[in-house]
Amino acid sequence: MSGRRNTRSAQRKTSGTRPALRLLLLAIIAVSATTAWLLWLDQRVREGFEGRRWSLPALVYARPFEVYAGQALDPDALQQVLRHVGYAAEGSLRTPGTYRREPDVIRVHARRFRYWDGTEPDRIVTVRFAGGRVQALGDERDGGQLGIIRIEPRLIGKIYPEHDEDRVLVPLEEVPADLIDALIAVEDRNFFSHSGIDLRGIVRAAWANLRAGALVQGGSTLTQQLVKNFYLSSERTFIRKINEMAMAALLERRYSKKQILGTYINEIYLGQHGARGIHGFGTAAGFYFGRPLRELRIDQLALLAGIVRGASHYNPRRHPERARERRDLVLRLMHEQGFMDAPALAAAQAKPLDVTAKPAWSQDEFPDFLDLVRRQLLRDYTMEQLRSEGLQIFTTLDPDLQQGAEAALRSTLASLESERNMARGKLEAAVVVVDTESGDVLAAVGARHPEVAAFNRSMDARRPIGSLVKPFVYLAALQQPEHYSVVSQLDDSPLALRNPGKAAWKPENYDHEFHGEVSMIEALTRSYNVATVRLGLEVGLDRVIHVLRGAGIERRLEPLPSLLLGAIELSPLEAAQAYQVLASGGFRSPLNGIRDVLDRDGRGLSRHAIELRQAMDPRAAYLVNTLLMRVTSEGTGSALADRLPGRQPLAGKTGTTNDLRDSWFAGFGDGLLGVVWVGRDDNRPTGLSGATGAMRVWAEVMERAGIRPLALPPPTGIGWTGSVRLPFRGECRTLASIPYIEPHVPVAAPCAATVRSLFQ
Amino acid sequence: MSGRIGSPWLFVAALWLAGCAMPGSQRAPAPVEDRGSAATSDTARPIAVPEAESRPGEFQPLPAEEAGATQPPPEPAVVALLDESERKLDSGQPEAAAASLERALRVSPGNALLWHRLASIRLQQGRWSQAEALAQKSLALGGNDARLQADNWMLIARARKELGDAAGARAAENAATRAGSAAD
Repeated sequence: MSGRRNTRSAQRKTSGTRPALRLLLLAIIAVSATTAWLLWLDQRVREGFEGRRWSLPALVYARPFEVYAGQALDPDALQQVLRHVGYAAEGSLRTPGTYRREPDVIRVHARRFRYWDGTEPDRIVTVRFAGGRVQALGDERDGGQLGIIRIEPRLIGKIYPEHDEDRVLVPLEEVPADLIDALIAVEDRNFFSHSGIDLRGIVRAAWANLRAGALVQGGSTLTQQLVKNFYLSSERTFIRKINEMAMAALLERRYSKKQILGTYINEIYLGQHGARGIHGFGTAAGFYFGRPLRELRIDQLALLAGIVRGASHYNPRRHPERARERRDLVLRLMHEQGFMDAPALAAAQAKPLDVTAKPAWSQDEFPDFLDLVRRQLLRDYTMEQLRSEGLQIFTTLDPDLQQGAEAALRSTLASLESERNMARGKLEAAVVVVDTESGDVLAAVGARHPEVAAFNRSMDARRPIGSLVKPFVYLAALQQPEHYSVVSQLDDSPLALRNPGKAAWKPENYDHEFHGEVSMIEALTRSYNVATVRLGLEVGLDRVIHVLRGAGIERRLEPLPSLLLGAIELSPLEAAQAYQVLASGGFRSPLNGIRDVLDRDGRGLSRHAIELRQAMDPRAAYLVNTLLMRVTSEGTGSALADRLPGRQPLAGKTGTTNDLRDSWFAGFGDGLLGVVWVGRDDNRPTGLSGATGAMRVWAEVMERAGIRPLALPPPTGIGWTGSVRLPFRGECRTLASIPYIEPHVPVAAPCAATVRSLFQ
Repeated sequence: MSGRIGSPWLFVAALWLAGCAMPGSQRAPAPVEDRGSAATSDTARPIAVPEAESRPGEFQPLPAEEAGATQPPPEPAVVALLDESERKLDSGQPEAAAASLERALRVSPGNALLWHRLASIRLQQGRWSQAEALAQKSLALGGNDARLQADNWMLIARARKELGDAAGARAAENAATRAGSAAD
């Protein structure tokens, strides 16, 4: 209907007009349409170019590696650390990011790196080793001695923008001249003289392609490529090509060559990492070589310039031969155009590709720890900030410890399953390792196969902790030194507790026996349930709950007797918090995965300082810790001595829940605390006790972590008795000395007699 | 001589008890009376750390050389970081100074002086409870360094005063005096 009316009115208009006027009208329409089109394109160009604020992913780093005189470290280990952050073995040490290895010396040309509390300068450091230790650190340039240096931390992950782009921005001033030369030589030799479109270039490319019978050169200028990358879809139509040329010309009118080049360097697409595009040369340098752009050699820069033409076609990991030919072509063009002489060309073409086997970091490498970090970050930052502002997040992760813990967990579970003829793959486990004093989370493993797991058991699996609770019951008692000491007699005879409306609760021991009168030492090291319930009730559930609160347990705790045997469901991380307080002698440091956060320019945003809270009497904590040392030497954890010879003494506690559903071990040596849980996701019995399951994993984790013996200096106010005779497992034994809280000298009940409780 | 050092030490220990007693154990006899009875009992002894080390026993701490056998004190690192911390403090960057101390603590967590320095930065920043907790940590590790003990008690006294705990502050001041005289 409307169509017909329009046709008719058009006919009426045109029929009465003279041809010249019609032409003029057409011209006016054409000019204004073109103008409108150009204005529209110009608008898009401006908006795109000026409004462009690249979304930069947040960078997540492990902890930096400290090197200091006296440190237990061998040269191989340091070399490994350097390799992980992309240092190359290069005798000349000309550029930062290189090192030279001699038998007992490593010389490092350290990179400048900005931390929250200051900048480590670009300098050459000599590290001398002797007897498995760092003997001295010297500054090569002024010959002075250094106390301590830190090697920049490994990048362990990124938090990506919504549209999944990866980008490491490099300002034009920091772009190596060789890279610009290479780009000019291979992509756009008239870049500095053309005005966006290069007609000569097009002709030359067409001629070259004709001669070669294939598409070997493109006629697009860098400006056109930028426009294509920036604004346009990848469809190949004539209209699009026209738009591209017009926009390139407009871009050149508005902006300087420097601005265009600077943007090009950071925008151009250079590869694919899973779902993420690799954009810009800074990103590509890290992605392909594991090093910053400014450290790359001319042949490496030529390779990157060569990849521009087709990132997937010339992918140096998948098609190394093709990539090499492309690189050599770029180098040859550079030589032909006078950017390098013949010997330099020969030298560069002789170099291997040196592309790393896989990207230096991968999102899949530390998923459980990153999960913890992400949750902690979201308390202070929005997801939008994390995804777009290029924040630098410095975490507490010890990557070697983490990888060791993952491997230990996998291999131990496999051994347990095969030793015990269990169904394969049913056992699961979680490990948390923390620094006892600072509360730094050094490692967190939430699954046997973290790379595919959706469930992070280190934080999300809450299970009854069983006997892991007992040290806190004993601590509640020992904080009353006027009533209790480590030799107090406890009653481990049958017990029935009234349970309103139900049958009486009759706690039993793991060995289904009762042990009568026992000392506190025996009751905790042998993990007697009945004696512990009696003690807890005598001390008072409110006091026990108070101690648990002090130990950082925030969830609701019911004042029921079953609490005393660990009827509290905690995640391994929460259990680690509680044991951190014990291990540090009563001072709680909230467990923490983040040290500090810088913005993209290196300005400090936030810092998680060490925060302490005195939560327990240090003397009582000391007494409990001496008991926990006995657990691993003569108690339920005594198998540890065989598993970790030469690392004694260590402190720890086993935990096992009903029908062997949950197997726990929490233990610590000097400065290092680990909590391990082993069980099944369907909560069925595993047949493993704390000692036969979790402790096995713990021992393997700590062996790899190089745990050191626990040095337990007594705090002020601890006294020591003379020798004491004490019943232990039905026999009388003599202990040379017993610690106590001064001035309450403990009185041990006579050994031979069938001793009565002191508190009846 | 040791006896004369002993009684102030006992007093310090008693005040220490007052300072860190848990709310749950407040029904325990008041520390001062406790000290009195202790002082008259024949079991009273000065702080027994050195004695304990000389006596073989399963419960006792390892001799220093054995406990630290795998890790001697990394002195130059700690010294360098202490210097760095002082410099930052002098140039008005207390938080950066704290960060240097924390770096040192990660290398040498049992170093009582480092915890004390961190406590004094927190005090300077007006973070009173944190200052006290850190000083208590230093005290717990302090061993035999009476001068450091006295400094820690002085710091705790100031923090408590700022927190409005006059009695606690007085007790800490007394403890500082005792520790100080023991140091002389």
